[in-house]
Amino acid sequence: MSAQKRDYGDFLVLMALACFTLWYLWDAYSVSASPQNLLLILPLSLVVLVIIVLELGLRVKHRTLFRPSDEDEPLYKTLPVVGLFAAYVLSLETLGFDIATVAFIALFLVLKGERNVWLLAGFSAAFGLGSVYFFSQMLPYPMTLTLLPS
Amino acid sequence: MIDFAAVEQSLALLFSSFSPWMVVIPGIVLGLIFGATPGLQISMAMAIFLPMTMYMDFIQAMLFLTAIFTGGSFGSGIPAILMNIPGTSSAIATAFDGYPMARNGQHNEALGVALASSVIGVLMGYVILFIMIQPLSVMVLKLGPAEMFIVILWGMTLIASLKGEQVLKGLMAGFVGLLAGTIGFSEVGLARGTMGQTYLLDGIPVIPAMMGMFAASELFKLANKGFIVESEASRKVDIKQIFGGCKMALSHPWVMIRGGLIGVFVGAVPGVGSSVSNLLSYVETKRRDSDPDSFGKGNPKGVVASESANSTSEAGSMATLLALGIPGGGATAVMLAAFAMHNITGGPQFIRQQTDVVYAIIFANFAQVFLLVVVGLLFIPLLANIIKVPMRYLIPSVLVLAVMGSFGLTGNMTGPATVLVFAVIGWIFRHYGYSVPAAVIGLLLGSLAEKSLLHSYQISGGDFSYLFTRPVALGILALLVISLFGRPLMQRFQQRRASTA
Repeated sequence: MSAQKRDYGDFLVLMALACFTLWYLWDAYSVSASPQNLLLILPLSLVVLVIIVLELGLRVKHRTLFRPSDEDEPLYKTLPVVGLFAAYVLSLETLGFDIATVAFIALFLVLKGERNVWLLAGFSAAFGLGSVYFFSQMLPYPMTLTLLPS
Repeated sequence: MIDFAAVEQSLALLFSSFSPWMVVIPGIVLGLIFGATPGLQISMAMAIFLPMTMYMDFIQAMLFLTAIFTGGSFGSGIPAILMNIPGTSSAIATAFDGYPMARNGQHNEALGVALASSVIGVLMGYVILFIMIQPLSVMVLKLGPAEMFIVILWGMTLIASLKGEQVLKGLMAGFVGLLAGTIGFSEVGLARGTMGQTYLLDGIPVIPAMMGMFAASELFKLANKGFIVESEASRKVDIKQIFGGCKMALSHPWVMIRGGLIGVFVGAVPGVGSSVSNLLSYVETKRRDSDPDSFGKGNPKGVVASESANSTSEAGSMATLLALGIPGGGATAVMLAAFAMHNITGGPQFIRQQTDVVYAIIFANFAQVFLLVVVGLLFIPLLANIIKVPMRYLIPSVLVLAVMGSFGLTGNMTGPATVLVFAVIGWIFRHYGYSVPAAVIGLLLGSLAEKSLLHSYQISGGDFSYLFTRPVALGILALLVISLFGRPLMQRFQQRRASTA
């Protein structure tokens, strides 16, 4: 029997939560050590840290500090979608909401196997431009637009 | 308790001309659209259309705004059921079982359950408001910051412990969310955890964060699937099945009544309202059920509990607005602005001097309920077609709506950036079994919890014994302890008795 792969991600999430809690407590303390400032943050941070220690203790006790990796739904399979969404959000101001939205929808369809060019181009242009136009007209804030009238 | 002369005058106010009713159907439709569109809030709809009420008389303006409120409270449940995206924070618990029902091919029934529960919830809420408006206003006054803090803590702990087998992870997610909810300027004017970023001074934008954690992270998870509902037969929109769902809701009257009572009383607490009442009602229903493990897997009682509570909350928050002039949330804050536009100030004096107007608003809402049934049934088939769309089309479309909506909420790139960051956090949380709802509720209530605790501290002068002078706070605290430890202690007691027998 081959040895099962270990997933360190769960342990890293636990450590990230501990780091965030410690950092936030330190940050709040460095701003002011007055009871008014730390009234909720200090006890709550301590409770979170106690729970994390308890969780770690239980995992060590049950020898499950690192859980076996999930073969059915590994995180890396979804990474391209997450990456594409991140690129979309980060390009909104540079490309303009209209072009970025149309490009995001088209690339997503290509990534997920849509090969009908007419459908791909038609849907991404119609939905992308339609929704951006709707929101640009509805919202009282200016949106960065390249193709559509602002 | 009821002024019958005022009742007569209120009916005359409502039925002497048709003009007050002309705005009701447009209001319900607007509420449904804004509630059902992720990112567009009910309060946003009311704010956008508030200037129109300048051209209406006070009764007509109130009818229009409450119609948006009523339509929106049901509308927000539609994306919660079909896409796992609560249209607003008041429909979070609707998604817990509504979405699994949709994924099991019961989307028609789930929508029917939500519609019936919403309709009966609104009706129940306004009946209670009609009878109780004066006693309720006295009761709300007795809830101080200490009680508010304990109510928040109670709700928070209950939500965090929803996933029975992973309580520690749930509590961790909830409490870290609560901490993150205090980021930004505190009540005493100190900025914490902003990393020098000015856009964090007002705290993390909660609604975009909620959209990221609930919607985007779930969509990432579904990115490799063909349809929300894999079976083709289950994707049909069937009005008969929607009616079947309505009947299903009616077969759980106690769940509805409990949800309604929780909704009215929690809804009347300013700042807490329907965001907490739907969760409290859901948790209480799960806790009292003979099969609690079936919740979260498509139990219609979960939808009934949530929708009945969030719909009755409308009446609760209206009670606070009318009796005290204090808005319970964003939507009633807009109504308060409408009060000001018509030179009307809410409060005990308003109730005493203009009882007929108060009753007219309540009676108009009875009628709105029946109109909601008709308009809701017409709209559901249109909106339910979403599940026929392949995921490769649905996912980018919903992500785009979430990004646009979040931009609309913040007015700058903070919204979309928040959606992105919290989408990634939610995706990781889901993968490793941390409670996403607990984290979101924590984020939502963090600043309110801190404010309530600080006010209690200031009132008591730091003396802990102050708590013992607050019987209501002690009562809620006792409920918190019972609901947390009651069941495990009872189980242990029963096991011990069985082993000794």
